[in-house]
Amino acid sequence: MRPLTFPRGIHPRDHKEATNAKLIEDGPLPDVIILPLQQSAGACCLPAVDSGDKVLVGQKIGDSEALIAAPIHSPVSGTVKAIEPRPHHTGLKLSSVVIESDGQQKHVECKGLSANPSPDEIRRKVRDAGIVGLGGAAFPTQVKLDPPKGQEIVSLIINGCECEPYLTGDHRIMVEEPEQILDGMLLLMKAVEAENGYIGIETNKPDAIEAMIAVTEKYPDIEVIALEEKYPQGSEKQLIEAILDVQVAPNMLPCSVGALVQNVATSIAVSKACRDGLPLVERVITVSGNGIATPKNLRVAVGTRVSDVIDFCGGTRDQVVKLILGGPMMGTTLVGREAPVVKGTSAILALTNDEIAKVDVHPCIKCGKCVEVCPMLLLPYRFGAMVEFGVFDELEDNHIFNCIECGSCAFICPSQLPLVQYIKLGKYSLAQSREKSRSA
Amino acid sequence: MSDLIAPIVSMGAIGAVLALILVIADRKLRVKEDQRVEKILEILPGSNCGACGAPGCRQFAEQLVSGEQGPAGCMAGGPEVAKKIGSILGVEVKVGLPQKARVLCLGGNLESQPRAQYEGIRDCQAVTLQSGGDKSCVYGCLGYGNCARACPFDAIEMTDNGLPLVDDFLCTGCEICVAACPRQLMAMKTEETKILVGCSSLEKGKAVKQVCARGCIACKLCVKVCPQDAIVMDGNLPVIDDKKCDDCGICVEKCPTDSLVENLINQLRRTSEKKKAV
Amino acid sequence: MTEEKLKISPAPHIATTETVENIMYSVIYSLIPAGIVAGYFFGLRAIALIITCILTSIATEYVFQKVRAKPISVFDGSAILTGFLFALTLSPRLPFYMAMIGAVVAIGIGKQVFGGLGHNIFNPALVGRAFLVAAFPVAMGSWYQPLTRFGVLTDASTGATPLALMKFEFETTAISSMFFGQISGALGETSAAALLAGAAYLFYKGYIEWRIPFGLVGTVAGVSGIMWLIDPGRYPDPVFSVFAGGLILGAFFMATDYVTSPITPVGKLIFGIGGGLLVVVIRLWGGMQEGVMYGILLMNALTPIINRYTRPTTFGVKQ
Repeated sequence: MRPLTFPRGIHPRDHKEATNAKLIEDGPLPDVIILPLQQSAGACCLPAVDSGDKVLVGQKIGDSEALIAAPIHSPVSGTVKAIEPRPHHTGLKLSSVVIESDGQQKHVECKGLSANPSPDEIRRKVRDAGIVGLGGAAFPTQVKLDPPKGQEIVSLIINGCECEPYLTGDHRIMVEEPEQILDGMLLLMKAVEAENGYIGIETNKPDAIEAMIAVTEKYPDIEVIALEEKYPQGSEKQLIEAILDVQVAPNMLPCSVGALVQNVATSIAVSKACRDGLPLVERVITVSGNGIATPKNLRVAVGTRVSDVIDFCGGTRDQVVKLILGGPMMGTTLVGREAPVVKGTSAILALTNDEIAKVDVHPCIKCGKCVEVCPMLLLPYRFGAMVEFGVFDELEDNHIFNCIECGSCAFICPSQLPLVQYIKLGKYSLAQSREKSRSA
Repeated sequence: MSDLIAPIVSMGAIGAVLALILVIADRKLRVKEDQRVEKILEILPGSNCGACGAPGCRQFAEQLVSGEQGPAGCMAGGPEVAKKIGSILGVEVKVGLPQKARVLCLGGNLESQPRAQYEGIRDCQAVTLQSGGDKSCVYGCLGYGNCARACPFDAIEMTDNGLPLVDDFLCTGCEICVAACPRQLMAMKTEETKILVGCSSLEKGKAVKQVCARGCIACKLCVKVCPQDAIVMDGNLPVIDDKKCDDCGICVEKCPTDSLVENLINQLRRTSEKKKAV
Repeated sequence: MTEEKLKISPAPHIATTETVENIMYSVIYSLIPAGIVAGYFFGLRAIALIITCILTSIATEYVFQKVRAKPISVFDGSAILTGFLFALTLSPRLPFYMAMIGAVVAIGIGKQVFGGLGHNIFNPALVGRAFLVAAFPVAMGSWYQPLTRFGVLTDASTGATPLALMKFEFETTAISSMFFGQISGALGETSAAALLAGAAYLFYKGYIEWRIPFGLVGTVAGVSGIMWLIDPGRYPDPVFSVFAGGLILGAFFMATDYVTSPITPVGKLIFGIGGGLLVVVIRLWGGMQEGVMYGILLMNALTPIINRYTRPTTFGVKQ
């Protein structure tokens, strides 16, 4: 069968060869862990510990009463040294819990659910374990498992696309731990009472497709779907379009079309939480790029500093020009190495000059390539001028909020205009002016 | 001759009919406009800056007449204009001191080195959203000139050192730059403020010292030396009580990082020649 | 402080290696066959005319950018391309000074007064040509019989273009002559073979898209074909219509100009079909023999409106 896909999109070089055949290693056990209190989309957590407190692995150190929030747990045993602003990947200093490890890794008592848990039990466990979407957006998973009344989830899609170049963490998970993915998937399907399960994987990961087919053979309602290698195949709305052939309306969630999308790593986290009671305190990341001495797939504790991870991979070599948290299409650049890995971090990339885009901006020549590739059917070239001249009401008319910021337009632009930055700035300014008019 | 009469008569008739229509239209369709709107409009600066909240000066004048706005609403016009509007509308206006824009950061490119190399849209807001900006100090002026671009009176110029310079003779105190700065570094000050604190960093002294040569390091020396006890610390920054301060200048002299400066209202003029002529 | 000064920039951090320069120079390369054929049939003077136009374009662009204190970008390829395209629309023995005036108008009025690259409404090369047609109608309307092998054209060798022969004397020209370029006409428009070779290269590189050129050519062929079926004595056959005049040059190299043509797929098709209709109308029923230039210029003017009304429906909104 021909691999499925969505219309439009781009084909960047995937650069996955450095790590796609490397086993996942356990990362460093750092002396100091920095846990920003804001790690998921939604509300910021309040600290649940005080400076000087002793903590154990898996102990809750922050939580929030808010509806959209996920608690944070300690990945090490040791002492809380401080609760203070610390460097964060956003470039700012954000309130963080700093824990000094005692190296003993003593666990709190963890208890999994019964062999046959109820949907409610699963949902509660997912929340208590602090599970968020590990694909990058870090949206609290439990919220997605609780769709609004009247909307039923029919299909669960497990996202194994990993369409960002360089990234191989999800790929390795599928090859090395397919049973656990399946287990998490069954739990998720149960939690939302889904009828069908799909696992979407791009064809550049044949071993992952094979591994997943092997474990799901006995389940008639679960299907492994081969997807064309194309960016942004792993975007939620594009994945739903490719597999279910429906489009999610602007400002709507996937549950509006009866779908739920979860990343493979999230699926494993759900399985671990429900079976063993383990909260989300570690994740698999890819450390890659020509600037890294030994690129690796690592299982690191959330809160490990970027510097510790890079040192564990033999440090940097050559002249690193950009340090990126996440993939090269959507990741953020870092100003230094002090920022910690957070729950939503999928990779640390150290890129050298010949790997990154050379920026030589020209005026827009209206070539229309951005329009050709935009998976959301927008006119990206127009946002630049609109933002520059401050015509914000036009932005909304052109559906700026439907943009998923995948970066396809800026990737393909021969004038190398920072189209995504214009869009982000436009969204921000629009939100601000709305707030202003609301308060006025 | 008859060749001429026909067109003269017919053209004259058409003209008369059209004139009649115009006269009727003028009587029937006339919109009554308050005379005061025109009068106020003459006083207003006419720059349509929008600082009052109305889209332009005419709309502001209309809102004044209908009572939606007060005479002091025109930020750009300041007290002078407010007084005149008051006399037209027949209301008394309490006049404050003229206010001028001031920059609450002294760390230009020389004082605060960039921590990264920025590539992208040259706009302060865009830079702030991108990895927290390229300036070492995350509270300091980014120097991409949003305030200067926003100023409807062309009163702000970016210096070579990457800081805004306000020309008090052009600045009308309209507050548009205050809203334009994503880091809230523009503030309006009157001559009541004698000493300005030229740093907005909330960091502790050591952290400030690492990123800026002119940042306040919270050494509290100014608090100690002030003969009037007019200075107190609020967090890591000094706050000067304008009422107590007698402008003796000792704190400015003693400040080890030069982060306190005299507030010279109406004495700042930009250096570039071409714009001086206003 | 960190020991390294990293770059911070918005995502994405990788990009295609395709640049504006790449695209411009590829189009220039694709025109070289047509330039060589022009030299072969109309003499070395034709080559000199092309070079004059290119140099004048570059100089004009430089002066405008200098005066407006804009960054100098005369070698981004766009000025060279405009000069080249403009030269290909000229009569082989046009005096050099006229060609230079036309090139100055093309870059100056056609492009720079609008704000430079990317901001112009009309195709600059055609603006230059339209100006010359109005200013020097005789010189622009004098055509010459082609020579062979880089010879020298003389006054004796004047000859009407196939379109003129058709229109005024109901005389058709052999398709093979028109295909290879052995006909009188503008420098670059006579050889369909050379132009199509260049166009094929651009298709291969993905720089031009089928909708505009095939919309244009298809409409011209279709409508003139219908007319020919109705009255073969009066109207030319569709193959003749396609290969005569500047249709191939216009359809593949001028109408496809990114800046002045629509961006949306539907808009491109509308642009092509609309342009084709105008060409046929002007050719068959208008006072002029050729309508490609005005057809494209008129569609250029409509481009913003076409873009506005053919905006794609965004993802997730039912049509």
